[in-house]
Amino acid sequence: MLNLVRHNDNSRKIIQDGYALLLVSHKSELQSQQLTELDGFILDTDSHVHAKEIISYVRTHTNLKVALKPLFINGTYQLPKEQQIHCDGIVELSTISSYIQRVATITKRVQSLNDPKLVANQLLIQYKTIAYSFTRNLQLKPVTSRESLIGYEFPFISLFYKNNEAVELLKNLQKATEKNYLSFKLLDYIHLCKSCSGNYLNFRECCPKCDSIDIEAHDMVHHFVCAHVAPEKDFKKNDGLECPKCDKNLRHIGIDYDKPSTIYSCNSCSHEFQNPGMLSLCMDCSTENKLEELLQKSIGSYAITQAGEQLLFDRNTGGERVVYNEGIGNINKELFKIIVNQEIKRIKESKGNSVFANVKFQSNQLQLLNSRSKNALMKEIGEVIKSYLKDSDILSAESYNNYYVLLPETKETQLNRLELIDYNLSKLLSDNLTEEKQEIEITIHKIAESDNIQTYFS
Amino acid sequence: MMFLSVHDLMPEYLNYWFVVGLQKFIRVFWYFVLFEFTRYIIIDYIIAFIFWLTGRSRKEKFAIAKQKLFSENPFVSVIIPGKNEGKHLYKLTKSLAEQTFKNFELIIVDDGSDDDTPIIGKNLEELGLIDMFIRNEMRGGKASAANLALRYSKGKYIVHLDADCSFDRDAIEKVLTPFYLDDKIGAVGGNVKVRNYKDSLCAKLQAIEYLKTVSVGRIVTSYLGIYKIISGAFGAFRKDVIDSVGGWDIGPGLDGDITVKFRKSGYKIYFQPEAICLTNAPSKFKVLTKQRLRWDKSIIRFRVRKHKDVYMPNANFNWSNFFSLAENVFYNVVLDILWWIYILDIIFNYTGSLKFIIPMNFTLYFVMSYVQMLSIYIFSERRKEEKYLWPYVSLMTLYTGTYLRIVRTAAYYKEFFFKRSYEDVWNPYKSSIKAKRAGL
Repeated sequence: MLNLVRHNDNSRKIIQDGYALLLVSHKSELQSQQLTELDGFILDTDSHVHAKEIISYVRTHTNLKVALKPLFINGTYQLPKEQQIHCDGIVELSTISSYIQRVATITKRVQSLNDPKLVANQLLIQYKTIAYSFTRNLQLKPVTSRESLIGYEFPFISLFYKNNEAVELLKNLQKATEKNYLSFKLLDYIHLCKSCSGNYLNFRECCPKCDSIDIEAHDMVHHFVCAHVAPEKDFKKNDGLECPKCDKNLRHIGIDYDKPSTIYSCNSCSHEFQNPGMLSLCMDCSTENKLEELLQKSIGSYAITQAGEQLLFDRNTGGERVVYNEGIGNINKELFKIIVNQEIKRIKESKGNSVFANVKFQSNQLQLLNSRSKNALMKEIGEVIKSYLKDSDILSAESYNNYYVLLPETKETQLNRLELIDYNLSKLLSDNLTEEKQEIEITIHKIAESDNIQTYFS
Repeated sequence: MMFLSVHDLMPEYLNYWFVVGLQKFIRVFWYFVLFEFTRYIIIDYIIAFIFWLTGRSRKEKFAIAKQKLFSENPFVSVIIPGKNEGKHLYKLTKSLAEQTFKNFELIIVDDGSDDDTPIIGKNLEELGLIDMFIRNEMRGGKASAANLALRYSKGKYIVHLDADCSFDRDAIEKVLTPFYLDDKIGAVGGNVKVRNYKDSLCAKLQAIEYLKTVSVGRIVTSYLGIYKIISGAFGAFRKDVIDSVGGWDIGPGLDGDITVKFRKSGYKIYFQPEAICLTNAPSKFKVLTKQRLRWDKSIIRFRVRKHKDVYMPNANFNWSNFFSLAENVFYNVVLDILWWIYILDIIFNYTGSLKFIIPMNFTLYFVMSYVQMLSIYIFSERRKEEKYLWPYVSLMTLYTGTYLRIVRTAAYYKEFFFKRSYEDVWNPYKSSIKAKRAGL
């Protein structure tokens, strides 16, 4: 049964089978509502501007559970396809009950989701998009759009990017595909301006020598009987074709003459050529692009994969945990210092045996790497060292060739793990580097009561 | 034994001719004495002698002409029309990049190739090794391809080349220099030699033949002012003149035809033996036969039919043009017929003496071949390399005197009575049929 309830706050709700759908014709109507209490929205406006604002307000809402709520369009109004793709369909208010099943399904799926614990914006958008695809069981299929800088608008995710950030959008989707959260099916290739990434390009043939577009194509005419070949204009005489070499009339193509090729001439530099170049003018920023300079991007539909679903239900992450300033080895150096300091204090009290070790090596070859590669190397070597340590041991790194290890409750006779590190790390480096055999230098220091932090980190 | 006479040392057939006397010798070997000996020995050596005598003044004139050429440094268009020549193009551009004369553009016309030529040509054009590469989707024949290149040439002189040739470093400089000797020189022919002479016997014999007919033969005809064919492989033309004669007409034989057209429009044709171009000759007799049938047919087609007006005493009559074509037709066509008459004459009138005549005839031609080779040696600038060919000169009697004569006779017969050159697939049917109907 249809219940149209007009509240005092001027909002209109349709309550059907226990689901409350809000009819919205302006964004302000949302701002005065407890959106979490609602089960969905129906766009009730024919103003494209208002509709756009409402769609954007809902879908980009910071609360994911609000952002993913069903959003329908009142069938009375016509909205452009660029807006329709972000909604869950067009509804007839008179037959609203038939849409409730869909509301129920989406709501159920939305409620099954955890709130994302992600901080990085790009990853959060990725997560939300995957969640959108999951709750609708929907393939994200782009539609062509003149309003979009790249000529295509994607459902949901496009709302998070400004028009001039469309390339970032594609990159983000590509990253999700690389991580296998989304699968990709190619639909089109787009070519974008090298300067502004715009898609509104005008392609013209040009002179390969001076790039002028003021070029003319001339059909060549070959007169069979005298073998004269020249542009058609040389043969033209009083509406007919007359051979300038033998003065005969050319009456019949294929019998008297043929046109074996076309030659262009440039009105700017008089260059004559057969293969014109191609230039594309960006209608947005007026940049002239050569074809090979244009950015080519793939456009396609994206569908959630099993890995994508797992990401949504990963209890530990509630999405992917974003770690900033990723620690090297095990923990970062500052924290490590605090722990070592604490260990010194503990040794004072417990008179226990703990060991501090410093693992170092020198390599001229690795020294030449850039900082990014050095970081990657540091992580890799950290993992190797870690694999020989006990769970209670703590590892930190100063640089790619300088690591600190704290070995709690370890006597000096129990250091065979450091020997293993020495042997294996040396072998690993020697196998991979062309330099002479790598010497690993491990300094061992039994932590004493009299030590302080400067003893280890001068 | 000690007093053996000279006669005893010589074979019997030679003694026979000493005994019968000079009068009978001339009667029996009239063909050799009247035509071959006079033309290829006496005239060649006289010209060689004059050439040697005038060598110094010619050298001086050439030095001045060369100076003029380099001070003017005219823009030249090198044009290369061809079909399926892509495989030669890169090498060719490299060979041309080595030239001492550098102010030229390179225009290549691909006449409807059905191999990778268009891809190769476009790439070379993009790399800047070719200035203009024009692709004709439909094959129109060599003349139309050359005319298309001509239409887009911007040079004062046009140098026409074949794609499978290579050139001495100074070839273009040398072929252009004669234009600065005399204003009336409208076209210059380069000297074409055989590159692959080591490939086969067939190629060796052609190498000797080219030396005789091209290198020496053309020095002589050029000197006499009756030089009649600029090889398609290497020739230079004044652009204004070639435009005024309407470029090339349909072949086969278009190179000989355009030379006649130049002569008819009042210009001199010069042979430049020092402008050397090397070409690959057919290495199999089967291919050679096909090529020669085509060349020989063109003599009938162009020199007997198309340009017959040269023989007529009309307003444009010119003695050197008359002699140029007449010598060509006489020494090829008339003498070919005469040779068969000569054979009949010998067979019928001297049946009993054939055992003396045949070996003597071979001896005469054998000796003549080596005497001619000596004149080649005198003229040549590649003496050392060409020494390699000397032993094969002994086979030239069979090659030119028998093999080529038979091929020539067949070609003349086919062309004279059936106009077979118009059916040659060398040129597309669509234009050959038109040329045939128009009597071109």
